[in-house]
Amino acid sequence: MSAFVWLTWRQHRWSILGTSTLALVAAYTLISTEGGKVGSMLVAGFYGLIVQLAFGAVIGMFWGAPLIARELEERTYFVAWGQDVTPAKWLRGKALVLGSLAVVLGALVGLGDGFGGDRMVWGAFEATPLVQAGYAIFGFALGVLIGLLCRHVVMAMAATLVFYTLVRALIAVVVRDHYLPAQRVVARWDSRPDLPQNALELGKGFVGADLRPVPVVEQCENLVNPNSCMRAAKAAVGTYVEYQPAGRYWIFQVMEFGLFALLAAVLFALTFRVLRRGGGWKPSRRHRRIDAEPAAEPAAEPAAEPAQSTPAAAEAHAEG
Amino acid sequence: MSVVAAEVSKWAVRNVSFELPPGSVTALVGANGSGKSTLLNVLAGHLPPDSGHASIAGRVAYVPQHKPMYKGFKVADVLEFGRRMNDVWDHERADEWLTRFKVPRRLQIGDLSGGQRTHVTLALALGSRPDVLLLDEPLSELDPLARRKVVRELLTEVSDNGMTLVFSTHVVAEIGGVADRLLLLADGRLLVDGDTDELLEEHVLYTGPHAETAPVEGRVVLAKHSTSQSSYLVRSGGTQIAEPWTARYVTLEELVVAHLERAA
Repeated sequence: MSAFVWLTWRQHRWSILGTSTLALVAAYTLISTEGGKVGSMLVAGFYGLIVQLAFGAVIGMFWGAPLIARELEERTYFVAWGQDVTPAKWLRGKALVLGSLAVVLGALVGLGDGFGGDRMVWGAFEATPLVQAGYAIFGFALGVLIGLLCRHVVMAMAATLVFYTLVRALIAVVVRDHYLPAQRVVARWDSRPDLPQNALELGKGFVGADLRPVPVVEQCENLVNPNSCMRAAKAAVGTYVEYQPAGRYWIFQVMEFGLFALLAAVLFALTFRVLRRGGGWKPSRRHRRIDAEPAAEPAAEPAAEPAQSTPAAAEAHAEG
Repeated sequence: MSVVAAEVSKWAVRNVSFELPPGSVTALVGANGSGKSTLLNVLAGHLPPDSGHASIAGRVAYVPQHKPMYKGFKVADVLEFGRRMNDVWDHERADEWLTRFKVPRRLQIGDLSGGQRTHVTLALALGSRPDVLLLDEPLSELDPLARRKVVRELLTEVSDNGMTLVFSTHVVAEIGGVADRLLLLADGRLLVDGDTDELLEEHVLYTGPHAETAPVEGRVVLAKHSTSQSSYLVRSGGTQIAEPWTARYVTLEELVVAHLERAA
């Protein structure tokens, strides 16, 4: 392992140093702003927030994407994977060193939320060490896989930025609010639904006689305030608000982290699979002992497929 | 056998089969684009063959044609890299190689000349004590003096350590007295595979008056005719021949060129 610490540091020290500095400065500004500091630090906190928002993408673009893409582009993979260390071991070693460093830096960036005054519960959902660590490892894994597929550093960096942004936006906008089914509070006419403190409001509407949501009737649709119309039309018995209670905040944090960690694990698994099979690079320096073969390796994979398809075909025959 | 290729096909290479004994020095010769590098890449395991298989007994080190190396590494870093990335590492062997060819240690790889970079990649390959060393155009960036020196040193490594050496080249003059085996590739097919000494003994050039057929039995490699004269390069092993024909052995270069001309 110390070999890979040495190698990673020797090859990536400038990107490690640069990103670490960025993370430290961002963490400092975010934490300072949180303390309610006045003056220019609020603006600094704003910049800190930008870094925090983009940190996973930064890791993916500057650590993940070039990791394999640079070896392929400059054709140095002959050197990297031509030693006793196998490509899979090489990738595991480097990913372990850079990945754990990315998690630590991500957590650091997530220490402050950059908001002056009272801590906002749901508004600063992404500004926690746990969630930021998940983003960082996800960005890294995404960059590594894209780098392996793209084989060009700049293209891999651009693609990493695009896909990272897409995934983050998709999960933040569509998925995150519904990690757990929303709770609903209902109020009859003349009273308002009573939202618990610090709850995350998801949506509101009207309830019918069975206290379940009903759609707005046609004649009330275009009104600015359909309440009195709905009441007059006797289309609803009251209003409701859906929300996620503040008590779920930490469960959601863990779920967000878990989701991104899971995505990262899937991406890593794919990367190793492509590296082992698609790339065709030698699995080990001694993989072809002449007495142990011949043709054991090429024959193994084609043989596995018919073996899998045979039972399926047999079943099909049996059913037919 | 330390290197075996069995009906290897890949892009430029078609159905190439050969076996090389341990401790042999093999020259892989062919025109540009004849599939030498592809074949070496397959042997080294960097490319999977489309069909057939290639095997190497023991540990292999491969120096590709473009002599890849991390540009930001200092020369000393390369040795450190070799030490940390290999189970077996002979630091002295690599270090001696660099000293012998006077490669400056403090420079980065990107600042070295092409020849010096060749020496660094060779040092990394030799330091890992491979059983089989594959070199793709190892001498292309070296000056004439360094070429001889490198060849001599490599042959010493072969005889001292029982290493198997395979190197590709298209400069036939480089292999005289060096290679004891010749693999001749043309257009992806293996034209000649054999012991260089035996090949030289087998091939005889007969020159005489204009004739439509060869004066002796045997496979005619190349026949050339002018108005008054004919010459036949025959792979037969040298039969006695009467006047006015004359017979002589050919050089390795003539042999290679004749086979390539025939294939073209």
